[in-house]
Amino acid sequence: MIARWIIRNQLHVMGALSTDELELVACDAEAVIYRYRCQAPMHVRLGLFVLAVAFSVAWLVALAPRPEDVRAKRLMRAWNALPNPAPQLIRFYASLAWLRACEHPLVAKQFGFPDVESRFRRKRIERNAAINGRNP
Amino acid sequence: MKGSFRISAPQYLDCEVLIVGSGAGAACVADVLTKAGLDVLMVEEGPYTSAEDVSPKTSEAFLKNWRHGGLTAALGHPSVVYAEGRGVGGSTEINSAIIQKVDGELLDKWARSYSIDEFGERQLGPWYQRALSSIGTSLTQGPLGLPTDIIKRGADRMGWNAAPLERAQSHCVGTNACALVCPTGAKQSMSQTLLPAAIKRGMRLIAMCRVDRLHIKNGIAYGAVSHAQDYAGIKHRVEIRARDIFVCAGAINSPALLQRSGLKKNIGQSLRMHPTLRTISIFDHDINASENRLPLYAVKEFMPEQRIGGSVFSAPLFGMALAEDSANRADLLKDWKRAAIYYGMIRPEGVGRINGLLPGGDPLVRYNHGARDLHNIAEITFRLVQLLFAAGAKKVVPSIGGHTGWSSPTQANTELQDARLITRANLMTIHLFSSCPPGENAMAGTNSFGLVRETKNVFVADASQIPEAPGCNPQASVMAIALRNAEAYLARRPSNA
Repeated sequence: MIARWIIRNQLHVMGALSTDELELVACDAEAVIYRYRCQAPMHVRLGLFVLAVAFSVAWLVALAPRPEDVRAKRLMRAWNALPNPAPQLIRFYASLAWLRACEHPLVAKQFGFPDVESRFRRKRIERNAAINGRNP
Repeated sequence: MKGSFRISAPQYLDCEVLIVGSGAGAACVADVLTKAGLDVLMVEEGPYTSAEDVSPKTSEAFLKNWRHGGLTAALGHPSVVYAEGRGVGGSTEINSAIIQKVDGELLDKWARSYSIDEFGERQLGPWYQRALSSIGTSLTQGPLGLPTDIIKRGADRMGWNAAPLERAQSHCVGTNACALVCPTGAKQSMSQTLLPAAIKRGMRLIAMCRVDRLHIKNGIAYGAVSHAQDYAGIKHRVEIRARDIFVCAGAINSPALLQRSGLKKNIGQSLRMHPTLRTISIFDHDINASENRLPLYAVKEFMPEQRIGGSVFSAPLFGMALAEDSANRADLLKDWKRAAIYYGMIRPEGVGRINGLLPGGDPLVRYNHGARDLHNIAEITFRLVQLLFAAGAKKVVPSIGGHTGWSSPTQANTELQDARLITRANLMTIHLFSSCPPGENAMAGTNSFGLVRETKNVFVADASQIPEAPGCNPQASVMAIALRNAEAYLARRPSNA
């Protein structure tokens, strides 16, 4: 959920991806973040659970019934009041969402990012040639 | 790796020496012991990744080869995110293979202040030599590229000493993906050098096998209980009986394992590291850092207390760095060709503690920065900013929450006068040490040669044995100390073994 929210709200600045394309990128990032979450240390997973419960309660009691501008202000205030390392933890997952999004072919195409897979292939050939003392 | 294997059913295994871990320390111990003809079993918690298997997607590679995918932090004000390798070859698979010796005066000082036998510059010299020759350390040949030129040019203009970095590499073609496991096999990591040689001499290596605790009775370890994962992800209990045990699981997990095994005296209480602050620098022309080698010069002017260097770069990694403060930095993504990432690193006074006794077995790490540490980070950050602007940068964005970047050194200087700015920094490190310090004084966790105090046959040989932060890349020191500890073990081993 966090990944989708991040990508919808942040990655639209990246370029002219359509809503459907953004959704594709977001789903992909979300799946990877889920795998990272499964590998996280036990105390991190516990921290995430506590955060999720606290956020759900806060949403139901103090946020959902309010108009959007009040909601945004309160969300920002709550974010600033979060004790360390909670903001860092959320930032880590936000970074992951960006990392994965930048690997997505749609975003890579948008920004002209190089194709890493073909670079790896090229470099393997180049090294073999260097070992054998000839030009690739 | 040919000769390594995974367990596919519950097992009982016997060996003369069990080595826990497969990084620089473990591989050196294996090298010494297999040459002496001992029956060695090595267990590694992570998988083996060959050069051909390296994922071109950073997010996949981190997940496979970094402990917890890189989500590991030492909690403090500010916290420090740290990275450790988790796989056959340990952190040598994800580092940049930079090989440096510790400053000789520092080694002599440690030998005196921690009462470590045979540890000064003169005594460790031959071990360093042996370590370096075993991995073929050399300077990288050919053009080093624009990211390196930036450091050279900036240092020249500032009048600072910058020098090329020796690396454990052979025919490196500059893929700039060292952190993902080298995709061409050029990096002379442990999986390329000492481990295959030890396997050839008869060592058994089990991948995906995590040691839960050691069996210890009356100070004598007689084995370990571990869990191994087969290719289908199913876990199997593995009981290992061993005559002697080397714990080489790194500066976080070695003390955590010893604590879980009931060994706590001076273990995990003195963690040191190199807190590092990265900056994104934007130039007015294309750098194309992802198509170049990572920067292979470092500023040595302020070593060992402070160092300036460069990081691996790819567009996704750049995106990841921007995400730290997307509100202010997102628009920089389009400038990826004009960007590069450099860092300033300090040798701090701060000390951390490791708690390996939490449910789930994942260690919790806390870190207290020393009184001068934040000031020193601010100082090296300013020096880095000076260098980058001298080299032609137009904008430098530090990894500090809510920071929009500096457009001149003067602006950076004004802000960095207040070291409290650094409390908002996203510090990171890949250098961790000193959590099982050696020596003959009351503060040591092991004797001078790695024997854990409360035991007769459990040894440590990894970064946790470096007495303090060395101010340089630690791989050479880890290898030198591990070779020394392993040879000392052989020399003192009863002859009827």
